Amino acid sequence: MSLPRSLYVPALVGLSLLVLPIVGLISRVDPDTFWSDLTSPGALAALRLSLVTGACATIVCLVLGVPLAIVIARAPRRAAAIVRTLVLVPLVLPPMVGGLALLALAGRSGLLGRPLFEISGFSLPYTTAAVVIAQAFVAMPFLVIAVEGTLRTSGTSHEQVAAGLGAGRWRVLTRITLPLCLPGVAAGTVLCFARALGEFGATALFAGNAPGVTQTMPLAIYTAFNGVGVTQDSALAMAVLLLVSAAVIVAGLRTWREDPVR
Amino acid sequence: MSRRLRADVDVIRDGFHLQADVDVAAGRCLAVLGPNGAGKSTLLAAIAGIVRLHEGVVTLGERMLERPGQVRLRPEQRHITLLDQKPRLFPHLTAAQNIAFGPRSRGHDRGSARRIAIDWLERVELPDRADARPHELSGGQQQRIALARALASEPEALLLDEPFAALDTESAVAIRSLLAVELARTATTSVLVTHDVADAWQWADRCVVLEAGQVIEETTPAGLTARPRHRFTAALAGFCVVDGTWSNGHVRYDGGAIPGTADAPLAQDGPVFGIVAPRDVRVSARSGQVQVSLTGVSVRAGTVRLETASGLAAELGFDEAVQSTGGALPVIGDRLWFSVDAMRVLPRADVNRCM
Repeated sequence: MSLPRSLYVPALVGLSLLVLPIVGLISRVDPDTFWSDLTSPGALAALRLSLVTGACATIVCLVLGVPLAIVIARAPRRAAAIVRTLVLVPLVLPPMVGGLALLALAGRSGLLGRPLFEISGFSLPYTTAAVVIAQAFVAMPFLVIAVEGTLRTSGTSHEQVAAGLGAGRWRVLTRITLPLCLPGVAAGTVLCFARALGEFGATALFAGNAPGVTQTMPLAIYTAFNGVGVTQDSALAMAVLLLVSAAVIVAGLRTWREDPVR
Repeated sequence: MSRRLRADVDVIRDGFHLQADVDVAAGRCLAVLGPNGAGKSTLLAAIAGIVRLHEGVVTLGERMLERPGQVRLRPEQRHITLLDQKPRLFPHLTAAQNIAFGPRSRGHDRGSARRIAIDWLERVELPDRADARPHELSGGQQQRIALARALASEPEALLLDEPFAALDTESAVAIRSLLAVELARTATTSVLVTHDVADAWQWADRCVVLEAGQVIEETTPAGLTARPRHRFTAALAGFCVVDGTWSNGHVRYDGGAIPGTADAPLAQDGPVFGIVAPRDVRVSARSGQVQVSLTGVSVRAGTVRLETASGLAAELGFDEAVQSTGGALPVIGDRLWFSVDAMRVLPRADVNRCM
């Protein structure tokens, strides 16, 4: 099918809008100092914190999100629609609002935070745990949606067959349901980790910006361009690292989806 | 360890109401026939515990499987396996692992479940496909593995929902005979849903016909084919059905009338359909009860079937057919005369049609 030529103009401009900034970013990086910029103590601390909190958040999402996805996928239609909507809200919510909401719940004067502080003297905000919670809050919907989608596509017929063959509910879950939704779990995990790595808004409000404790890569980058913390060159190096990991994830998901044999 | 299966089920699902009472003797097979949407699969789902009974009772041998308000065993507690037209093999397991799934679930250790699976692979004539994944197997092979998987779990009752419907003719023949052998060998009580009278003949000693959620006929396969009493069973058994009105001992329809012998009082001028065996219809080029114009001619294994617009059809030997037209095989559009004895036409009141 041939398209009207004039359609190619906005299409090209649109593509440029998406690609050119990335070209710009790469052009600013000095290849000679890239490695030393990336391994400067400040940058390394942010990198390490990002990887650790991102991994923890992903584990939290897996442990809580997979059961949630299974429950939604097998719930009656109306209940599933309601819960699915609730899960989707954090996905479209501005992360800043999410951070504010977390503070309102778990801050020292928050709904749960105040009694917790009065009983134990522990306050969650501005700790590394807060980073993990903020990341899990914004990342879990990706995992839930991916897993739930796979489960709904695969349907319940295999589970019914397994039950007919004498498999109890737990055996059906571990031998049939979970293996069948594994592709969704893998895709969801990758998306979840990527989202956690890039998390900024909710973390900034709920966990703050303390180097080595709550300052993840995105926060370190932002701080650098405010003239404090790591150098701008280190910030650029970290930005390129995030870019590369995003590219790897997109490429990985693509080959997976196109793999005909599962 | 054959068990008698009794299911008196009353199910209401999505506005559909099924009421059926079936009883299968231990080790025997019951065929369930009926048009699409009659409730055949719902009946199986109720026995398997996939849908909930509204009222009624399901028992297998001495065990009570379900009685609303008192007992409801989950599907995995019933020892009933369902095999339908899709193999539904577990895609992440090999053929052998699929077959071993039932034995493993019933407490066999890995080694003994594997031995059972290998045995079954022999029986279904796929001994070298133990480690094949389902997507590497043909449709017929998948269905054979599914059959092995169903029987390897040693069900006390096996529910078969048109298990040959999705297979090509060759695979269907192979799996039919395989199933016949294994059902006989294991003496498994079974319920077979089918569209095919030949299947009922081959396995079942009883059959029920469902229509719109009700059992309309309960008979033997022989009774079903010898003297069908319903539009659906008549069509299944190869009879033809002529719609018309009952008038002075005749089924009168647009274009003619044939005599009939009712087995129950019929209202004069009421809507009826007449059930006729095409073999009982005589054909002549010169004279008879009704003159017809042929709308279809089919030749099969030496017999010719002549169809007409009213539904009345005649079946006769090839030579007879040639003689009836005086030298050539009849073709569509030929005008011939049909006759049939009154004793050979069963008129039945048509409750679904108002005149």
